[in-house]
Amino acid sequence: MNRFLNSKHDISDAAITDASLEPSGEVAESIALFRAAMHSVAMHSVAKHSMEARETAQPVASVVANDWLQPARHRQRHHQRTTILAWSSAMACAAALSFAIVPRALQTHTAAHNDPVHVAAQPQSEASYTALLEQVDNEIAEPVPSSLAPLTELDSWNSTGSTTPTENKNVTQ
Amino acid sequence: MGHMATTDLAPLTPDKVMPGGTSHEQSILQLADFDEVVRLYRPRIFRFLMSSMGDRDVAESLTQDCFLKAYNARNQFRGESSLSTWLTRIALNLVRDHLRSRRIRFWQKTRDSALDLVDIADWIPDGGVTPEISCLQQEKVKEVWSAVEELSRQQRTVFLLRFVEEMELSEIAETTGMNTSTVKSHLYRALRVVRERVGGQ
Repeated sequence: MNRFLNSKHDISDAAITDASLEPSGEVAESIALFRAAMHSVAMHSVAKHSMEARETAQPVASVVANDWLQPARHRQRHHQRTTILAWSSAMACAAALSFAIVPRALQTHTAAHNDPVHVAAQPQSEASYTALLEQVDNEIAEPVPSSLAPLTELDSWNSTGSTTPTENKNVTQ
Repeated sequence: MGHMATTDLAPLTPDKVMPGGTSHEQSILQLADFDEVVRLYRPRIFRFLMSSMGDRDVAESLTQDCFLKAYNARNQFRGESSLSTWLTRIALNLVRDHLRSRRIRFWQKTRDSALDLVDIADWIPDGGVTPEISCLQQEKVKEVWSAVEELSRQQRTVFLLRFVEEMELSEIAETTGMNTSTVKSHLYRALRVVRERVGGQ
């Protein structure tokens, strides 16, 4: 309802004048009565509480020393204890969970590493990939038979020399 | 009854005046005698908390909490704001915390000490008026209270600080941490709801 009321009329700063913030007429009268009633209720309640406190408390003059603030101190201590307890419980739960989960996760991780499919599927880094290629190249490299030696010369000439289309054409011819 | 009346509040001037004309140094000295501080400001803090929370027992507990916090932090008070503003700011933070924790503990029932419309209306000081007029006054108070209960938390706070605690706009801004223009905006909206409910304008 409040949101509705707020969005229903958008207020520009210019619309808010000091006069518009001062109630007048019946509204002012109602607010004045409301204020008087609130003051009366509060005064009565404070007087009542003070009287009750005076009846129960020791005859010590200081408000701070005896009582009136004692319940607040209790609440504060209780709140501190509750907070500490809640945090301790949360920490204990977190620790228990980590003790239970971490070894299992590590186990799963190690098993996954040992799995050959997993190993094959792992992306290789560029350096290890080049090293592997070199290794394969070395493994399969064989000396070229003497009958095929001219071909290797031709191949090297092709790779190092000019590669214009006409030259390539001549070579193949 | 229908005559024009205006509230006898402090003027809407931005200049800062300490309540009761006390200076900052006096406020600090005043704080040294904490019993006196409690005696002077307890009714005011209790009233603000009671009108904000609508519950006498909660208001009493929060008043105690407010003064305990103030007592514990009394060495940090530098007198940059008035003692009243400082205490009201503590009270306002307590209200915020309490409402937040109450939202979390939503299953807890509201207690019997919650203020009733009839309760408040019964507390209008008797000005020697006739029963008919007294009845009409009670109706007006009920209308204002029900309008206040409709307001958002910020509008309600600003409204109560202005019209029940009779604080200036600059003091309200300092207490709530809002800009003066924001305070004005909230107050304007709050007043509009009250006007609509009371039906005066």
